[in-house]
Amino acid sequence: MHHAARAIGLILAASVGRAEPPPLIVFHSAADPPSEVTAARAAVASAARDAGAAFVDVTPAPAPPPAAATLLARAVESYDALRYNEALETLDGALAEAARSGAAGLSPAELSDLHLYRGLVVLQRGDANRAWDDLVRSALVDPARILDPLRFPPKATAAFQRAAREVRAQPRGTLVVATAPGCRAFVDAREVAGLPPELPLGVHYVRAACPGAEAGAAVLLGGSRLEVPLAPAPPAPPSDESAAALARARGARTVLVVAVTRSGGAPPTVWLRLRDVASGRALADASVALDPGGSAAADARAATIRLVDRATGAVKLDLSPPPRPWYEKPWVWGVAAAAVTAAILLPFAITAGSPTGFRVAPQVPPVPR
Amino acid sequence: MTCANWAAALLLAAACSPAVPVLAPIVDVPDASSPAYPFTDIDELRLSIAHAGQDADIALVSVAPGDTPELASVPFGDDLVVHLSGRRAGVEVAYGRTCAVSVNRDTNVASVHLYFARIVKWAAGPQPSEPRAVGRDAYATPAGDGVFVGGAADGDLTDMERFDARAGAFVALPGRVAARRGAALAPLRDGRALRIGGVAGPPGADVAVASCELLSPTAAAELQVQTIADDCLHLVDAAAATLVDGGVVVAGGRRDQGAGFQPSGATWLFRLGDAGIPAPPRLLPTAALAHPRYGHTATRLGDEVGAAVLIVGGRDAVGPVAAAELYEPLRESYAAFAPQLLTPRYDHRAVLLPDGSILIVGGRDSANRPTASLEVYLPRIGQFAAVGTLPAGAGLVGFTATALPDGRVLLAGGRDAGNQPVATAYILRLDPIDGTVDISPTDGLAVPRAGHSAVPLCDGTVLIVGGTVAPGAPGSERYNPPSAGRR
Repeated sequence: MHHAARAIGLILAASVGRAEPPPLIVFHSAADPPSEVTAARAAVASAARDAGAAFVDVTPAPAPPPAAATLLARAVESYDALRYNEALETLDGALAEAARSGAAGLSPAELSDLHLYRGLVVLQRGDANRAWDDLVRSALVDPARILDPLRFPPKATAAFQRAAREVRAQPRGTLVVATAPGCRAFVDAREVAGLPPELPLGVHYVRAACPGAEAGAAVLLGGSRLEVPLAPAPPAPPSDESAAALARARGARTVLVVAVTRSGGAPPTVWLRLRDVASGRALADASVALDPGGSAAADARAATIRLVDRATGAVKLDLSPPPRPWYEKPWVWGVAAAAVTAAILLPFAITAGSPTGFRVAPQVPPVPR
Repeated sequence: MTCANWAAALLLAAACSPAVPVLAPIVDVPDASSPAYPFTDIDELRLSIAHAGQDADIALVSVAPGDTPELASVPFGDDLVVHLSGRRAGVEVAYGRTCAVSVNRDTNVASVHLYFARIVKWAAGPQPSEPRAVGRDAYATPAGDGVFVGGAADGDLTDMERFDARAGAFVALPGRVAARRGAALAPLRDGRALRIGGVAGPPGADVAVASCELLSPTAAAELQVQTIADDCLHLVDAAAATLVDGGVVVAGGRRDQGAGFQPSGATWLFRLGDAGIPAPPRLLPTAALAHPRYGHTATRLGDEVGAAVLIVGGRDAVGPVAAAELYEPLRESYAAFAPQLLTPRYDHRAVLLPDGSILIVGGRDSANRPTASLEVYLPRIGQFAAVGTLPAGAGLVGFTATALPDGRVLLAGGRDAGNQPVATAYILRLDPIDGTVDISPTDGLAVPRAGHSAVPLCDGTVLIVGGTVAPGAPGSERYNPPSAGRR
């Protein structure tokens, strides 16, 4: 009996296998997520706590709010105080941000003001040609605008009217912002609802605001039609390699990446990927759709627990590393690096000592003292 | 190895080290008695080197006048420009630059000239071969040299000469051209030029010159003047414009049709054939001026492919023509075009401005009198606009109008309202804010000139030649604009 019990115990021990430590759980979603994603995150974090697994959230921080409107107000203050250099520097910063973001955070009047004030500042500094360019760009954004005579001097008002007349006489073209369903399109800080606008030829600002991401630019409408594809995508979830590096730093042997993505108008989807840290092999995958009004959070928690069990459960996982291919052997890379270094340094060694530049010594006639 | 052996090895190494190349521009300055002499009252001399068109200097040194400025360890490169600036209390009062040069490890560094003078001043230049010539055809090559051809001085001239801006001297060319007056000249993109039509013979007995010539100033002597066609365009006072694709369109002019020279509306096109030789001109069957004219201007509106050519002014059998016409090269025909000159004129000048508009200056009006009115054609709104009036004392006909590097226009010499040659010079600038033209008098010429020739050089200066018979007058004068736009 004693011998039989020992044999059964040994057989049971062999079949059950040794328990593995829990994986590192790495969570990622777009910044500013909707409520169902926030609930799913909480559910995954709760499952991690219950399993004794470390939980890391690598969701990027939301982008800082646009500053162009604040910079414009500061520039106007500098202009009114006759600090033209300061006003110009501030306006250039605001215009650079407007060009990068497609005039995010600006109203059409503010966008027109950016160029108008820049033109006025440049005119004060004596460069009429460049000032005219800015006045034309200000009028391009809002050709029907009439300057307030209480805010602007008569010469500025007359110059703007002249620029607006010229813009109104320009040929026109259609500007199309091609973006994905669920995104909002803007041209010159005005939302495009319906047909794409017909605008005077010149530089215009376009922007697409999609869930979790925005993109914008300043574009040149130079013909009868211009289509600008803007498909901003939220930052990509971490790759298997980067997640494995995080886990390695924390001493985990497996890593579970939980990434929430969204495309078009579909509800968000949670993707779960269980990977071996040492070899990078895929151990298990799962996905959960976060349908609003359903049991999405509970489904995400259940999927997390299932994969954690796969990592720590009775099923023995084959964690032995695969054989190394020849291109991963250190001595091969050492030889290659030596050859590349020699190829780079040899020409320098050969030409060492040759002049790398010349002197300029003009023959200036003697100056009478 | 002994000490002596080490010393010998070091000496050998030093002897074998290649010497550092030196770029030594020869600085040409006006005579010390000239108002353009640059060294008067300056307290700083600044030498710098930069790539052509770049504001940022590669190297810069500042010295007191009398000391020798030098730059060391300048990296080799192409399109390098040496700048020399004379300052007084921090304000630039004198300036000069070389044309672009290339300096590399393996090439002999060519010596170049740098013209250094007081800014906004004229100074006497080198003596050309024909200092008293009038009506000399002139053009600037892409390399920035000036080529002067033909004209008249006590008889028709048949010579050619080139002003080498890098060497700072005139070079007489061995090629000989046909004598002709009233020819159309069209520079080509490679530094050559087409010379078309004109008349020869004593005044009052004009005979049309039948040949068209291809001028190649840098070719071997026997190839510098080539006849394109013996029986070419029999045109006088036509206007020619070089197209972006290298072709040349010739419009209007007068043709001897058996009853004297009559205005023509025909339009001809030259195209470069094999080996870059222009083929005989082709008459465009569907392109004819709606208003046959001569004494007009033809100005290309830009540098993009298919840029149109604006035909302005001129006169027909009755008088000056107000209607302007627009030739479209891609369609090889004229567009439906309504804009008209506010003051019909001929023998005027037309200059393309940086914003794409065209400035129309001077000429003769319907009463055959010189007119001082200025107009500008604005392509963006398709209209002519009056933009000012030249002051009394300005040349209204026979003057030169040259675009400066900073976009302004230099008017020099000419004949005034009383038909007298003048020495005045003006700078014109279109103010885009209020649409007017600012007219500022600048330093005047040494002597009155009319019928002279002017070319912009690669260093940003303007060289004028001829147009005067005053004894002792300089054969050429050179204008030194400010450094703005000359980088």
